Amino acid sequence: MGANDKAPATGRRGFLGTSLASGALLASPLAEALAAPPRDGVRWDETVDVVVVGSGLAGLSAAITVAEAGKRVLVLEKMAAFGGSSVISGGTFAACNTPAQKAAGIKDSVELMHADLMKAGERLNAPELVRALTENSAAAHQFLVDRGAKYDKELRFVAGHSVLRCFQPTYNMGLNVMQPLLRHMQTLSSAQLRLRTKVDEIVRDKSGAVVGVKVRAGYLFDPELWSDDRENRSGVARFIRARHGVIFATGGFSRDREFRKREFPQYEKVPSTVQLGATAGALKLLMAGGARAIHLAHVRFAISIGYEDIEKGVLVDQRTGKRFISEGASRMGLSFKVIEQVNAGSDWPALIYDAKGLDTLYDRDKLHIILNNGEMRNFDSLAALAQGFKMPADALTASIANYNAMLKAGKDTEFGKDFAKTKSVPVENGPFFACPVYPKFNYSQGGIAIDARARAISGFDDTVIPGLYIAGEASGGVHGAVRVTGCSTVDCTVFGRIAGAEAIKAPAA
Amino acid sequence: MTMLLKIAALAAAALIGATAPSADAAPKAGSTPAKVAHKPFHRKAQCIDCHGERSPANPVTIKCDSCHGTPAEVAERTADKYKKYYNPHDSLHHGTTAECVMCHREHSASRLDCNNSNCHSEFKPKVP
Repeated sequence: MGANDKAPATGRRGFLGTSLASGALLASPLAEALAAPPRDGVRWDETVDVVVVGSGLAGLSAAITVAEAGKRVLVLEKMAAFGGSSVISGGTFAACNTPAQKAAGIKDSVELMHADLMKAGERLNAPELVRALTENSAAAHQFLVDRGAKYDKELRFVAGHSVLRCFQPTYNMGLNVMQPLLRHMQTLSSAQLRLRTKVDEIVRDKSGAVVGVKVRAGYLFDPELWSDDRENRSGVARFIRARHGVIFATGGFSRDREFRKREFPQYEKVPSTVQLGATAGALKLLMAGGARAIHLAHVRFAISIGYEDIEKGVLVDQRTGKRFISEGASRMGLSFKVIEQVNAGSDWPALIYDAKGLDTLYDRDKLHIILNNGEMRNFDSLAALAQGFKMPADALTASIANYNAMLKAGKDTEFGKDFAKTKSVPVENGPFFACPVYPKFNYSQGGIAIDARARAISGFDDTVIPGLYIAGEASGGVHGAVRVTGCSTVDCTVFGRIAGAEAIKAPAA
Repeated sequence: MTMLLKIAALAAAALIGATAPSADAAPKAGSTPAKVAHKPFHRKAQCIDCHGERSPANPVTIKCDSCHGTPAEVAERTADKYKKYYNPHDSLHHGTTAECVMCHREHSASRLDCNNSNCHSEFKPKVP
């Protein structure tokens, strides 16, 4: 990420420099947007030290850092409740060199965690961002615990990490991480959270520094709209001045159907389970305001059942009743194949176990959810299962018999699944269990490019935009091709804290 | 006055048609509540009762707590109703921070987004 490397430490070269106001640059719409006159004549409705946009984990980490230093911080949240996707997240938190690892005798290092993230990210990640994340990971976890977050005592092994290094929030991240953080923030007199306040624009002064935001107070998000960001007219305009800058902790765009359709039309049928407000509005306003976006087409899919449990079962196409891929395929490889089948007119494929097989599943939390919500159904016979999933019964029965025979013989002659490695189980005796397997938009790796000090990079000349900071999923370049499980929470906390500290360190505008 | 008494008083007042606001609180023509859909139980409400303005084109304020109490109080009052499942007024996700309007809508259909994408399809309370 050469551009990030080269970002000067004190890039106050305003992109709005008068020399740019004319000439060839104006030919492009971007240049026109960049050349919009600075809003020096703004009449501020209120003034604070720092504005934080978004009240998820990154936003609260930033706001708490600012408020604990005694500076006034205003957290703006467009939704009618706090917490963004963080309050509905599983909340796995990866950190290296922690006291918990030491106590458990686990040998870990910044280098090892760095290598794990770079490998998953296919080396698209900005190494200096991965370094900042890994070096500060243990302190970030301690920061949360010191402010009331509760995690299970036992470390959890999570795919993508070469050693045991993940903490799991006790029961639920909303209850035991986000709510304690919010309560802590509310004890700080210089911090304030304001719900239903949507940021529409950043305000830059003549030098190009971000000095405030234009918002709409009393915003009422409407999930029914195709594009809430473009179509929603609710709220009343206000200008809020931020003397020490603005921190965007606005999350990803997994819920933005319009934006997704442009970036990746092939995934149109893929649903999302992140919070409803996860649209590209903030990303778009930041780009329009002059910031550079990176890695936008890299998204991460969660799967409706624990990914590591798919490989144990039998996955069949609902149209044909036949297998179509090795159940042991990679997360994204399997997702792509499933999407291909669905785009070709099939329904989501069915993953089948018998009762004995179901007992061997690893991710009991996800299993509990899909048993509860009716996605995982049970049937007395394979014929009933075929009927339930509208599959040809004869073909399904033949597929299962063939699979069991191959498993007994120890070789998958159809799709080459490694039966031993995947701990595959036969499907023999009823009741039989089956659920649809489908990917879900879960995370946007892409976002606004930042440097290791969480400062936004100009889309025009790769200098730092003074007064503008990005933290968490709203930023891009940290995770590259795919984010590793447990690395979003640590990203949010590390860069939220960095953004807060950098903002108050910079001289007031 | 406790919240319940307030609600009871409001309901009684609504029955006998005694909630007419003072003349100066009457909404201007063109923005009367008659032109905005109201739920039956709020049919006597005037703009100013909830929005603090006589005829807001784009209201910022939505006051529910002066009659219904804070979300935390509502959670306490409704605890008995949700013995079988979580109380949405004090959820494991948002706690008691959600504004009423997230689910309860006065001028359009109320909504419950807990089941978006099948997250909580077993959770089906009717939202007034």
